[in-house]
Order: sequence, then C-alpha cells, then structure tokens
Amino acid sequence: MRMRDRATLYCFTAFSIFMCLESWRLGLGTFSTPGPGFLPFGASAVIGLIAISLLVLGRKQRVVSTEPFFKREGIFNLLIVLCLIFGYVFLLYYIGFFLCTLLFVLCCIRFIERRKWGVVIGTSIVTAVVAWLLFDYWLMVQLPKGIWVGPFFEKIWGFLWK
Amino acid sequence: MEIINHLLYGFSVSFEPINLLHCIVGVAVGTLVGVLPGLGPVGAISLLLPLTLKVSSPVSGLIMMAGVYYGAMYGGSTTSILVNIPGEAASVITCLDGYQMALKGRAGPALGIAAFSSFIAGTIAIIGLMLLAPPLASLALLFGPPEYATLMFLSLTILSYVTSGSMAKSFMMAALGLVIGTVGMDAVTGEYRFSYGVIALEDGFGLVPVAMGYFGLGEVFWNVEYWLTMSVFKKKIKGLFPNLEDWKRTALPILRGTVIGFFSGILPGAGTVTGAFISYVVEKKLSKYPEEFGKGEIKGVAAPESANNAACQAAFIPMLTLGIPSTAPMAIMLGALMIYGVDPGPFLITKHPDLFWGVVTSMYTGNLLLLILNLPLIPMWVRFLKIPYVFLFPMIVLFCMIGAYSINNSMMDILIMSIFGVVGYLMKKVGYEGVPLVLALVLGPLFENSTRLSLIMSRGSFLIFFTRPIAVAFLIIAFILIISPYVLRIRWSRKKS
Repeated sequence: MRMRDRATLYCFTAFSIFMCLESWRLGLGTFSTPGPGFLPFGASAVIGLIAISLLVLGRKQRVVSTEPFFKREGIFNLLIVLCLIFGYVFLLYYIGFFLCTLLFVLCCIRFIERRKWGVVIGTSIVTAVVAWLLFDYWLMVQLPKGIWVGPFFEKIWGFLWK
Repeated sequence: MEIINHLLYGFSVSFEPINLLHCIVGVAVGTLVGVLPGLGPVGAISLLLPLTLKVSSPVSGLIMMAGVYYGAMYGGSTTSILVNIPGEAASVITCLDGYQMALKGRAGPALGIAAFSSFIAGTIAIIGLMLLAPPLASLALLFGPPEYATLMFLSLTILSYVTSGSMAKSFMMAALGLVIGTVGMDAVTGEYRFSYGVIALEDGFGLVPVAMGYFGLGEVFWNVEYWLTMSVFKKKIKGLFPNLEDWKRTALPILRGTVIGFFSGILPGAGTVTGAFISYVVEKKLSKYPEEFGKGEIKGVAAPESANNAACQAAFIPMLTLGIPSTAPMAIMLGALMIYGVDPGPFLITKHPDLFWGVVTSMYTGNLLLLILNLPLIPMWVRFLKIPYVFLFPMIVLFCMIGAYSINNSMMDILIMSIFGVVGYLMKKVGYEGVPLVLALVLGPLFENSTRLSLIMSRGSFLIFFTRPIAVAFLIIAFILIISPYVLRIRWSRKKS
C-alpha cells in the first residue's frame, strides 16, 4: 500500500470517528423510532470499518510509489487557478461580477500560457461582456454589482447597469 | 392502440417550439461536450442544471438534459476516431479501431458508421423504453418502503460493483455520500444536523454545487495539472457514408450491440461503458478474424457505438419508473426532477404523462437531429478540437461559478463548489470515484426515509426486509454482488496454485 493510500485511509478513519460521535450526540433513537443520528451513524461506521479493514489488510504491503503525487510543471498552474478561483469568490462582492470575470479570464490566460497581451485582453473583455449579457441581462441572474465599483458603473452605463 | 395515443400525445408535447428548442440546444451542447475531452456529460448536465432551473419547465429541462446525455455519446466517437482520445468514457473502446481506420484513410466511413449505428441503436432502444417502462411502473406500484430501501441499497451496491476502481473504495464513497446527504434539516424530527450554525448548510449540500465542483472543477484541476494537448487528425475527411460492404458487415454487430447496450443500460450501475466494452468483446469472439480487431475493423466501431447509445436511452427506464438512477448523469437528472418538485417513481407516468411521453418522443427527434449534426458538421466539431485548453478552461470555471451562485444567489455555494472541486481532484488522485458519492447524495434522503419508515412499520424489527419477497430478492442480488469478487479471487488463486 502506498503512503498516499494510507494517509487517505487515516483521514477517512478520523472522519468516521468524528461523524459517529456527532451522530451519537444527535441521538440514534431506537430501532422502532430511529433518531436523526441513525443513518449518519450507520454510514460513518461503514466508512470507518472499511478504512480500518483496508489499513489492516494492507499493512504488510508497503509499496514505494515512484510517481510523484503532484506533477512538478503542472502544480504551479493548478495553484494559480486555485488562487484565482478563491480570489474570485473573495472579490466578487467588492468589485462585482463584470470586473471579477474580466480579471479572472485575463489572469488565467496570461499567467498560465503567456499569450500575447492583445489576445489576452481581447478574450477577457469579450468573455466578460458575453457572460454579463447572457447571465445578468438575459437570464436575470442577480450577480453582484460590487459595492466598490457598482455606483460608478451605474453612472457610466446607465440603464444597462440595473 | 393505447401506445399510439400516448406516442401522439408525446409528439404533441415534444414538438412544442420551446421543447424543440431545448432539444436542439441539448443535443448540440451534448455533441460539443462529447467532442471536447475533459468535460463529460455529467459535468455538462451539472453545468446546465442551474440554467434549466431558471428558464425551463420540468419537461423542457429534462428534454435538454437528456439531449446532452445522448448527444455526448454521439460526439464522443468523433474525438475517439480523429484524435485517439475518448471524448467521454463510453467512447474509450471506439479509439481502438476508429483511430486505426482514420490512419488508413477511412476516417469518413468510421465517423459515418459511428453516427448511423448510434442512430439505429438509439431509435430501437427508445422503442424498448416505450414498451418496457409502463409495465415496470405498474410493477413498482407493489413497492412499499422496505422494497424502496432495499432497491436503493441494491442500486448503490451495483454502482460500487461496476465502477472501475476498488469496490471497497466505492462503498466508502457511497457511505460518504449518504453522510453528506444527511446535512441539513431532518425531515422527521425537524432537527438540524451537522450545520453548526452555518445558515447555508441548514438546507443541506445542494446537488448542483457538489456535482459541479466534483465533476466540473475537479476535472478542470486535473486537466490543468496534466495539461491537455491534442494532435488533431489533419487529412481531409471524405466519404462519410459507409459502402454496401461496410453495411453488410456491420448490420448484425449493430443489432447485437443494441441488445447488449439496452440491457446494460437498464441494470442500475452497469451503464454505457460496460455495454460498449461487452459488445466489443462479443464481436471479437464471434468474428472469424479476431486478429483484425484493433487494426481498423469497422465492426469494432459499430458495435460499441450502438451499445453505448442504446444503454444511454435504456438508462431512463429505471430512473423514470422506479426513481432509481442507473448512471451518474441519471442521478443528476433525478436530482433535477426533485428540485422541480416532480416525484420520480411509479406514479410519474400517470401523474406527469407530458413529462414521460414528451421526453421519450423528444429522443426520436434528438436522434434525428444528431444524425444531421454529426455528419455534415464534422469539420466544425473538428475546429472546436483545435481551441487551446487555456481558452476553454476559464469558461468552464466561470460557468461553474455562475451556475453555483445562481441557485440561491449565495457566495457560500461557490465556496462549497470550489471545496468539492478540490476534494474531487484529490480523490481522483488517490483512486476514489465520485459517481457513488453523487448517487448516494441524491438517494440518501430517500433511502433514509424509506429505511426509517420500514422500521417504524415493523416496530423496530429488521425482519421486515427479509419477509417481503421483492425486498429479499434485492438483498440477495446485493449480497451476491458484494461477495462475488472475493469468491472469484479465491477460485482464481486456487486455480493458480
């Protein structure tokens, strides 16, 4: 069993113990009147039992994985994307959907493949405008306008920015 | 006669302009996601789900989602044949002979036979669905809570059995899905479970953020790390229509593929991939020249393509009649029906005939549309394959985020989706599949309610599951499935020694 598999099974075991205790706290009830903790307790116990069984069965099979868990060249790209996504979630409320989308697409294309600035800016503007027209204007999804920039855009774009 | 009336009624529903439009959009999006590797039908349906909730009625929404599902099956073959990368899982086997045919200058007939066999199989399977679903629904009227509880247990077992990874891992994922499904208000006592004062969790984990995160974002993270590059087949594609000799050789494989695919589609958990693999193996066994398979044998394209399409249409039978999804896309569609307030199960055909017959007949239209989309528009789909992934993935991520946000206008849903994206990516790395988790998340509340109701009915006796014939039959099948890998392993090791 590889190190990563063991680590996953330890996580599952810990999760199972935690959920069993929490389900117990909720109340298991009786068999004739099962309580709210009845099913989560049973399901968590199944997770724990399988995880422990796999750990016990695999304790003698130590396999050293030659393949790295993360691909070196790819992990930086992935970290950039993750940061951009969490940045998007964080900034959406402040700078609104339009600017957030524009910056998100711009950073994705520029930082990951270093395309020319013209292509990067063009693609991000087109994407942001199309997405805004499609979701905000046509489908009327109430996307955040951004508390920092909303009033400013409202002045410039008038009736479109409602 | 009655069936013809139903059929005519169904066509009157599916030919309504709005439903026709949904069908066209569905099959076009389906073909696109089938063509583009890196986003399968599950991801695409998850992405479209919030959109359909905004703009569509349940009938239109389901027509569109069904279109995406069977459209992806058609589209998947294009990438398999031209790029040797399966557009979606069920097209893996088509790569073997499809790409070899393309290398030999027969890309046209390979694409043609894939489209025609898909069309023929899809159409036959719809007839099967139409004839089999109503009687099965009347049988399901005999079901009470114990039968439902055991059927759902069986469904989760089958899915864990047929997923490509370890069965124990799939069971763990199913159990994890059940636990996640219990977050939020308990339907019986009204008590909040595992929400810890977080308002967004009081309604539980929504299917949309979880599925979008797991299958949409998770897939994007994976593709960003193992950067997706493709070398597209450059020769000009000509002669899309297979010749008479091709038709003679593929007629029987198409029919056999249809039958195999149909039954693997009905069986909860078996799905499109299993059907395609079995049909390929059967054709190879039956062939006088099995050594030709893998070197550009046209039967090796026709059989799996017909099987995966037949399976895809047949998968609607357990979902619409029993409320049991047999594949991951079906689980999402089932969830969508629940969000719409439609109760899938034996009463669906009688309570919502427009939905059942409308969706069934839309598949005829959809299949025809796909034939039109797949043959003359192949150069256009090939052009989509040339779009660099760096331009595609920000759109997918954006669509996921807006989709998750639009359900409740809540940032928390985007956060939940992002977290499930990371979880899905990490789980894929350690070999844990997401399908059992999502299926359990959908079935969890139904499974919990039917189990609790059964126990209340029997005053706490588990014997209720062992004294009713249908429930016992389901449990026996589940038991056989659970022990069969171990029995087979023991027999195999004895043989070896």
